[in-house]
Amino acid sequence: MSTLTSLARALAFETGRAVPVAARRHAHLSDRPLVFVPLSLAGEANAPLACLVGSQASAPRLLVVPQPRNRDLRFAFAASLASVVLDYVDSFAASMEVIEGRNVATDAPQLLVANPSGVAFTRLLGRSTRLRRTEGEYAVEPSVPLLGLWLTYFAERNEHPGSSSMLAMTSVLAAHWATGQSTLEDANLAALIGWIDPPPGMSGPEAAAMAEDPVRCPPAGPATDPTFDNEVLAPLVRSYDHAVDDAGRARAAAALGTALRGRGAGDGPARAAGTDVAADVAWGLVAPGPASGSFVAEAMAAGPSRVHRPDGVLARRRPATGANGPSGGGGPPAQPPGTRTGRSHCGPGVRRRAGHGGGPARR
Amino acid sequence: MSAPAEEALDRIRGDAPARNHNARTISALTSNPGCNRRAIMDAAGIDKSRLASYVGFPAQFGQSQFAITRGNVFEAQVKADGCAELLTLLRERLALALPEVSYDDLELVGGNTSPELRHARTKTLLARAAAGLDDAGTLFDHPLLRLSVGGRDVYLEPDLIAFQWKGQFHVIEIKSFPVIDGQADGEKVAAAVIQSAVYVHAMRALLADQGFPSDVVADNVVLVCPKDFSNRPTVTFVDVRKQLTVLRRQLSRLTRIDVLLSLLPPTLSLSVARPAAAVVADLRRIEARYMPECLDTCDLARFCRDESHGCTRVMGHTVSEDLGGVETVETALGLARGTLPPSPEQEDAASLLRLAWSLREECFGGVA
Amino acid sequence: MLERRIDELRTAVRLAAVAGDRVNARALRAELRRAEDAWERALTALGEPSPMPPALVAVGSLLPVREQVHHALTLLTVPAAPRLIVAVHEAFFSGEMVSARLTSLRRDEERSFRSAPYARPYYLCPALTADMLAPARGLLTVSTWSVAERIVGPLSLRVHFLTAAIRVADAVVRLDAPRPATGHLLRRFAANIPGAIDGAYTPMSVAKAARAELVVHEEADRYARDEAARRAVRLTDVQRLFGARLGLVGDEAGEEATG
Repeated sequence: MSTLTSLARALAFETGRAVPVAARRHAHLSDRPLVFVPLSLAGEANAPLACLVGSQASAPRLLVVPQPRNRDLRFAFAASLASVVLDYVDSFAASMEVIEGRNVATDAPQLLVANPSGVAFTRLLGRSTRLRRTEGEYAVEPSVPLLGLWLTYFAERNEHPGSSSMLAMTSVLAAHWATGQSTLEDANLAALIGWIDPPPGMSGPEAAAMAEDPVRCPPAGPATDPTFDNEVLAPLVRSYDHAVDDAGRARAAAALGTALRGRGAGDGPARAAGTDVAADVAWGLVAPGPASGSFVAEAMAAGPSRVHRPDGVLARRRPATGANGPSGGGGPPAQPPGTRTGRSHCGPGVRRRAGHGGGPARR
Repeated sequence: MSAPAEEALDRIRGDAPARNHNARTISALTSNPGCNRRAIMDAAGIDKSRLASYVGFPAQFGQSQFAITRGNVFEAQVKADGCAELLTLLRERLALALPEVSYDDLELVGGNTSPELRHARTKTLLARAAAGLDDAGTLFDHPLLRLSVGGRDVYLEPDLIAFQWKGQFHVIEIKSFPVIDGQADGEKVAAAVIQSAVYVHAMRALLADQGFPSDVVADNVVLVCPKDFSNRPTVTFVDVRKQLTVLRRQLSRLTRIDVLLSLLPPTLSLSVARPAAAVVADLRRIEARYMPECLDTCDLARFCRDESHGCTRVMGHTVSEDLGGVETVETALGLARGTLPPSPEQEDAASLLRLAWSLREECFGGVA
Repeated sequence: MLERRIDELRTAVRLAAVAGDRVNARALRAELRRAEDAWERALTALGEPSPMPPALVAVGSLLPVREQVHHALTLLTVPAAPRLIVAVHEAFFSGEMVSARLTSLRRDEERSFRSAPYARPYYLCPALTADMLAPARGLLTVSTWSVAERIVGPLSLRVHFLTAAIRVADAVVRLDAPRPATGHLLRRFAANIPGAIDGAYTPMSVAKAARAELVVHEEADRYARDEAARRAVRLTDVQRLFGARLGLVGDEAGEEATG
C-alpha cells in the first residue's frame, strides 16, 4: 500500500464513492467466462452446499446439496458441476488455429469467483475430487476426477501473478479502485461494489452498510451467515432428512434452492441472494453496454491495456507483473488437463497463443 | 481485586449475569491492549453482543449450529474410549510408554461443578503428576486453570492436558478445522496457537505456585485436527514461545482494572436497563481504540467504527501510516491539497502528501 | 402467499437472532413452524404424501431400546458409551437402534427403579467413578453386574477398550454373515491397539494384541476398582445403582433433594 493508494482512499472517503487507482484495466476479462459462486457448509473441510455456475448471464445453473453431509449427494453435485465445467472447457476446443505448424486454441477458459475464499474453496474441491476412484466400493462418476483436475488447475493458475485463468472479483476490483473503507471491509464483494457503483440515490458508504447486513444482503460465500444456517438452512436440511419418499426429498431440495436464490417475498437488488449478487457483478464486469447500465462494466471495459510497459507514472509504480504482458506469467503456462472428449486442446505439445491467459486485456 | 472495584464493575454491567472471560477473549484483549473500553466490558462480564444491538449497531456474529455440531462430534470422537485415537497418536509422537494410559475427568467433582472446587482438584492432580509420584496420571480432561488478567482472576478450560511420566505436560487443543496435505488455514491456526499460549502460561503459573520450574510445561502444544477430508484425527506440534513472549508482555501492559475504573465517573453504567442514549453517552466516556481488525473480534466494533468516522485509522493502520500518521482524513486531504498549512510536526507528512497529490493529478488529471 | 409469509418470518427471525432478542426470536420461530406446517398441509391436500419424522414410523425393530442396549452390553461385558453400544448393535444385531432414545435412557431407568425397586430383572444404570462413586458421565452398565465391574478408575477406560476389543473379536469369529459395520468396528479397535495390525489384521490378531497390552494395566486397574467397591458397601440401593451425588455417601436426604 503506497501513499498514492492511501491518498486515493482518503479521496474516496471524502467523495463517498470509490476512486480509480489504475488508468488502464490490468486484468484480462474473457468475453465468455465461467462464473462460479459456491456456498459451503460451516464447520466442514469442504462440504459444498450449493453453487451458482454458468457461462451465460441468461442461464446460470443453481446446484444444491439438500443434505450436505450425505456423501452420495455430494458426489452427485460434483457430477452435475462437472458436466457444466467440462462442457464449458470443451467448447474452447471448437475454435482452433494453426500457428507455426501447431494447433492452438484461439481463446481460453476463464473462471471467475467472488473472492479469495472462493479460490480456496475451488482448490479444496479440486483436491477432494481429483483423486476419487471411479470403481470399487466408493466409486464416483468418471467426470468427477476430471472436474477435480480442472479445478485444481484453475486454482493453481490464480497463484501466478499476471495469469487470468482464474480471477477473484474482489481482488480484481480492488486493484482498480480505492474505497473509503479498510481492505478488510473490501473483502465483501457487495460492499466493494457498493462503493464503486452504488444504487441510485445512495452514497458508497450507505450502499456498503446495507451490503454488510447479511439478512438483507446475503454474503457472496463460500461462507454462509450463521443466522441463515440456524434459522433457514437447518430446518430445510431436517425436512430433507425426514422426507419419506422421493417427492418429499425433491420438495425439500427445491425449497432450499428457493431460499438460496433469495426470491419469494419482495424483489429488488437488496433482497437478491449473495450468489446472485456475485453472479451479477461478474456479468457486469464482462458485458458492458446500456443493457447492464453499469458504471463498473463501462469502466472495466474502457481502454485495453497495452502489451508493452505503459509510460504512465502510475503504471511504473505498479509491480512489473501486473502491467506487463506475457512475461508476467511466472514461467510457462501450466498444462491444463485433457478434456472428456479425449482430445486435449491444450495438451502437451500445444502452446497457448502468446499474450493470452496472462497477457494483455482484450475487449 | 478490591471490593469497590468489584462493585463498580457490577454497577457498570447492571443486572445481567456476568459473562466469563475465556482464552479467546483474553487473546483478543492482548491483541489490542490499548482499548480500555474492551478491557472494562470484558472485566465486567458484559454481554457485548446484546449491548451492541441495544446501542443500534448489532454485531454480525453468532455461531452456525453446523459448525458447533461438527466441532462437538469431532471432539467426542477424539475423546472416545479413554481418548483411544489420541493415545495412538501420542504414543507415536510423544513416545508415551505403554502403561501411560490413565484418564482423569476433572469436570465432575462428585457432581459438584463449582469452579473453585474444580480448580483445586486440577491443581492437586497436576502437582501430583509433576512430582513424579507413582499414580501420576496421563490424560487430564476438562482441567480448570486460573489466570490473573488485569488484576482479576479468570478461569480457563483447555480441552485436554497430557502428562508424560518424569517428563512434561503438553496442552492439547482439539479443533475441527482440517489439516489437508499437511496444511491448515493460517488464520485459524494462529488463533488456536494464541489461545493455547494462554493455557501454557496459566499452567506454568499454577505449577510455579507449587514450586515447579516453568519447563515442566512444554513449549510445544498439540493441535488435534481432522486429517484431510475425513474424521480421523491428526496431531501437529506447534511451538508457542513467540506467542508466550507477546502474551506476557501484553498482560503486564494491561492497565489494572481498578486504575481504569478510577478514571471513570462513579455513576457510569452500561446496563441495558437504562435508556439507550444514556448508555451511549457512558460508552463514549470510556476510551476505545478502534481498528478494522476489531470487526472480526469484537461485537461492539461497528459502534466504535461509527464513532471513529472520519479518522484515517478507520481505513487501517497501513493507510494511516501512509498518510503520515495524520489523524483525520480531512486534515490529510487539506495538507495534500495545500489548503491546510502544516504544523511543525506535520511538515514531513505534508510534503509527502503534496507529492502524492501532484502525482495523482498527473495520472488522473482534474481531480478536485 | 404462504411462501411470502414464510420468507418474511425467516427474515424476522434472523433479525431478532442477530439483535440478541431471544424472546421475540422464539415467538417468531414458533410462528414460522406453524407457517411451514401449513405449507406442508397445503401440499398434502394436493395429493402429495407429507413427510413424517422417522420416530413415528416403525423401522423394523420389535425390541424396545433397553433390550437392544442390554444385548450390546452383555456382549461387551464392560461399561460402554452410547457410541460404542450403537456400533456394536449395528455390527452384530438386527433391527435399527434409534440412538436418540439413549439420551433419556438413564433418567427413565432411574425413575422406573425408584417407583418400583427391583421390579424388573435388570436395569441400565451408569458406571460409577472410583473416587466419589458418582455417576460416570456417558457410560452405561447393567445392574446385574458386580459393583466392581461397574466402577471406572483412571485406567479403566483403557482396560475396557481392550476388553471390548477382545469380546468384539470373538463375536466376529462366531458371526455367520459379517456386514460393513462389523468391519468398521473391528478396524477401529485394530487401528488403536499396538501390534494388532502387521500389514493386515484379523480378529485373532486384534484379540492377541489387546490381551498383550491388557496385562500391563489390569492388575492396577482391578486393585483400584476393588478398593472402590469396598467403599460402595455403604451406599443405598439407589446410590449403588445410579451413583452418589455431592460426594455425600449415605446421605439419603441429600439424594432426595437432588434426585
